[in-house]
Amino acid sequence: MATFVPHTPDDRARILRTLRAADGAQVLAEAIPPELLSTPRLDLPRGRSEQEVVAELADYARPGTLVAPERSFLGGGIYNHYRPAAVSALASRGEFLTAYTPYQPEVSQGTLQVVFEFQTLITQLTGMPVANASLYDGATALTEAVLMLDRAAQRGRKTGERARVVIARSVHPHYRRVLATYLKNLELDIVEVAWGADGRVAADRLADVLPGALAVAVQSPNFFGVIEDLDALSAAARKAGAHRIAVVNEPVSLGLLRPPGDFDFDVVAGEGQGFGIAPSFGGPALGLFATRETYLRQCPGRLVGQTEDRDGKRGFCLTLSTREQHIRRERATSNICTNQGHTVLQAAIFLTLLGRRGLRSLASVCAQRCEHARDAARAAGCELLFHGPSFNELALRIPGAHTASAMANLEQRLLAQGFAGGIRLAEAGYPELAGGLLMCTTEVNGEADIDGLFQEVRRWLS
Amino acid sequence: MATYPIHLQYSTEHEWIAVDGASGRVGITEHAQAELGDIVFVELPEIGTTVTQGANFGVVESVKAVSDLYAPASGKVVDVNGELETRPELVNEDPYGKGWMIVIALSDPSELHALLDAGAYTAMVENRE
Amino acid sequence: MAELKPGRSPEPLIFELAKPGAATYRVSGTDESGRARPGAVPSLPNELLRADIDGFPELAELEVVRHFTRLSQLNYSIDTEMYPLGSCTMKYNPRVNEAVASQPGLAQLHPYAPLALQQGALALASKLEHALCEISGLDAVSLQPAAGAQGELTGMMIIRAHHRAAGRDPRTVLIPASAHGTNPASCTLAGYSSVEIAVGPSGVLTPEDLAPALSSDVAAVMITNPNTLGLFERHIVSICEAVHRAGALVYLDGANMNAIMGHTRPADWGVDVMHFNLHKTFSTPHGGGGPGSGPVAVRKDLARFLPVPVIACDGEQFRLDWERLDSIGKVTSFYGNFAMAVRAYAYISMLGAEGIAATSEAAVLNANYLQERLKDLLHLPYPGRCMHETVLNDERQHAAGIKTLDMAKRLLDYGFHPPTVYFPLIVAGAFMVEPTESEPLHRLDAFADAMAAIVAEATLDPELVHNAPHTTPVRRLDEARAARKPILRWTP
Repeated sequence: MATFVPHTPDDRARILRTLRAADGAQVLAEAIPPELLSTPRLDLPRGRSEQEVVAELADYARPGTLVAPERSFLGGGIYNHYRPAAVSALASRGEFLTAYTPYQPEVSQGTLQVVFEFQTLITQLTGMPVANASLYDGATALTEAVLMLDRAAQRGRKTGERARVVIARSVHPHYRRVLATYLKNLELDIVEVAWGADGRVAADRLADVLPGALAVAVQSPNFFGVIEDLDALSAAARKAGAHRIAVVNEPVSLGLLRPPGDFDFDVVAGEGQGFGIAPSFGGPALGLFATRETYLRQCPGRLVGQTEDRDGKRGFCLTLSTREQHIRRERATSNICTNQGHTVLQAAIFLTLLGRRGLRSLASVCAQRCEHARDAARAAGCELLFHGPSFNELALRIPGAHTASAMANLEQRLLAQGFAGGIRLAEAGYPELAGGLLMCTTEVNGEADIDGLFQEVRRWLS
Repeated sequence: MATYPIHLQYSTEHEWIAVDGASGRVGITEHAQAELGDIVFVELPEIGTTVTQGANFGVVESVKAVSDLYAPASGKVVDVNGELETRPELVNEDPYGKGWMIVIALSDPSELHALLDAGAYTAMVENRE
Repeated sequence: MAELKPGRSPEPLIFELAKPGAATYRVSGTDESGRARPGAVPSLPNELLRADIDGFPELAELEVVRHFTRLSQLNYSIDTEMYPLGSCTMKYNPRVNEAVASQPGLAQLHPYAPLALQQGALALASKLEHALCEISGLDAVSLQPAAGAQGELTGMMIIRAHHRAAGRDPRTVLIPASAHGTNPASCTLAGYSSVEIAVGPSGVLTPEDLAPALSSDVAAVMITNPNTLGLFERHIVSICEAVHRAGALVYLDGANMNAIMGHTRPADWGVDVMHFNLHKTFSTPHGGGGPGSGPVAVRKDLARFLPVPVIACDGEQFRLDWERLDSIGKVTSFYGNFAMAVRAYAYISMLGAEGIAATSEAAVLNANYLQERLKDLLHLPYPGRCMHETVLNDERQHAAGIKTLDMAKRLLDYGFHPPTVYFPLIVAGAFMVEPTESEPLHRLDAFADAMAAIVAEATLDPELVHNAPHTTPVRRLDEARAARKPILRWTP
């Protein structure tokens, strides 16, 4: 039996002597009613050595290696960027990895300063003045943004009066689903607004649903990779008196594209996984949350602030804690206790390492590869679903693959050649886009890999 | 030793009111500010809001605690101490002076009979300790 | 002239260290100066592109490595010393957890990968679900909630869906004062109002404490067992019966599962819904504040309300089932913090059935040992056997003017992280100690010795204690200043 209990037989005897108990069972029986202690042995396998467990887990890991990273064209909220060696080396230091929440700032300056730097980096990238220490992921960041704006508006509202949130249908389908799950139990309704021919939010349909809305949420680049006209959307919403939320799914885009902060948005809610965090089947990810100073005291999650110690030395601590669940209890701004400390650290190292020029170059390379993919797709006879400007994702329609079974057949064929060609839009939450494939390119996908993919598509077509 | 001026009236929730004709100036007591510790934020109603005796009219926050403020008398808020927005520490430094919070135009001065005088309030606080 | 730098000097911010123009990390696909090749992004109109990112750092790789290495050295961590935080279960995080979670086939696995690629991950997740069912006695598990608090919220959403499906919608949740701090906020988010139930002098909840509040408007009772006083709720069975008779469900906050695994099971008490904290009980690292993972377990008839997707197995092949009409919906972007599930599964596999039970037993023995050693130093308001943690307070130090906070800060000078302080709220000046099973006896002794020294100092030299810490990288911080005039980012 392998456990991580370090006691020697002598240690154990000394503990039991101190407790005046014959054995551990006696101690448990003194604390737990005996009739509840009659549980049979757990029906689980016997304990195994580390080596045996590693071998078992290697089996579980094997199917995931069927497609090499450079031949995977999957995006849709989780991006396959190269992780510099320094990111994992530094982040795996035990002093970071095995530290608790920095409630004792005197011995947590490492974690606290990292978060302060992260908050600063996110304000610089989003163009917003305030960023928090992170939330769970993109979906919960969007949800918390809506809840925050609702809280701020609630004062002027009668109880029982329902508010309405407008959300672009081109926002990640899972994010919309998470938002709907949370709002089901609250006094808020959701109205979706469709996209137009270019894949951007349809301005006329938005105008129809804007009056009286509490807030509007749009994603840019949207789920189809199309860059929205944030300027126009923000202006339309502002005119109608609605608050504005910008969702950012692929954070690397902020290295190249004008940030939501340039366009008078109230909240930027996003996913930070693209900043050097492993995909890990979708989690842990990194919820980004940035807003205006007006909302500081309504903001969800942790915040780290700068202050001084007794000797006047600069230091950092968790601050404005009275917003949080452990103090304000049922009236807290959110029930969240944690932040994503360890993915915050990875993002901070990644961004610092790449720096000002590196991040811009990375974003440019991703967009450049997308250009290449667009040309290769056209050359292979694929149709672009949308013609709006795109960053690193493209929604394609492949001739001859209009049905679910044809799409599945194509997926199998590509997989047999070691490619994951993209996300089937009909199965990702867009039944109206049957036959559509969402394809993503990053710096990991070389031009030869992109060409190789479309060569296979051509072969499948013939 | 905390002091409780005799010209003020006190609520059991640790607010004081200084009545001047038809209106009353409201703040929290020295005992209350000491219990809370360093006050970092005070949330007050807007001018024109109606408050009710015993009901919540705002919030005061220290680093690790948050407390509701209860109106010692009913009426309309006619003045608010805007300086507390940027200098909440005034509540600690001068709870009966610069740390005042709101002025209420009293709608029912007879309510004031329910409040404590300085002696009764002191006794209440000392009993608790 | 160079200055001598004794001890630890403050680490500058990355923005202060930045050297514009420094040779930084080279991104693939760029030229030797790190710039994207000419002709990049030809079709993007200029008005979509941003100018420079103001203030963004620029540092050579070695400078980045040194910066973050130096910052790490300012942290306290399990890898360096004992972390006796009550209710946090700061146990050893085996290194193999990190090794298995970073295997390319799991770490690089994309959530939209073709089903064939997902088979291993789904098999592993399904095995973890089974283990959590077995440990709790409950019937179905969702790994989706990202943390304990989100597990609570998911559980409360399931409870609300259950009542609504039965054509009711009671709106009150009862929470004993000895339960966890997050519970009321989670209730509010599920549209419930919470009512706190006072706990009697025994420190455990009785059916009589609950009876007056058990109206037809009660949807659920949220119980933490063992509770935050470290005591086992010995009336749990009759409490569950009373709650069920009132038409309500029992939610268990499973934060303290480390005390009972393999010895007694929540389902056998009558619990309907609970969450686990993989980052507490199952050794996934806290990472300086997350990510956590808060799987939810439910009774069979509540399984239809679990979040989508759920893992299904059609004979040989696993798949994700989204077609669940009664599901509450979705709570995180994808399938929860999968990499944490990998770690927890590795841990459970190493322990095995006997190891899990032995772990809980050792956690209880260690806590009781420390309670014995500390109870003559500090006041113990609820004497008797504790479970995995013990709650003491500063009552005996009041005469010297020394408070829990002072002693907690003084512990830092002795090289120990303080316990959880001022929680639970029902004990004034609480000092809540949870050593966990992985702490060696000589560290428990060293901690108790440090407390003995501090208690002596409290009488002999109270100023020394009151002004602690003296030896940490920074001293007590002015938190009032941080909150009054918040500075939340660096500005040039």
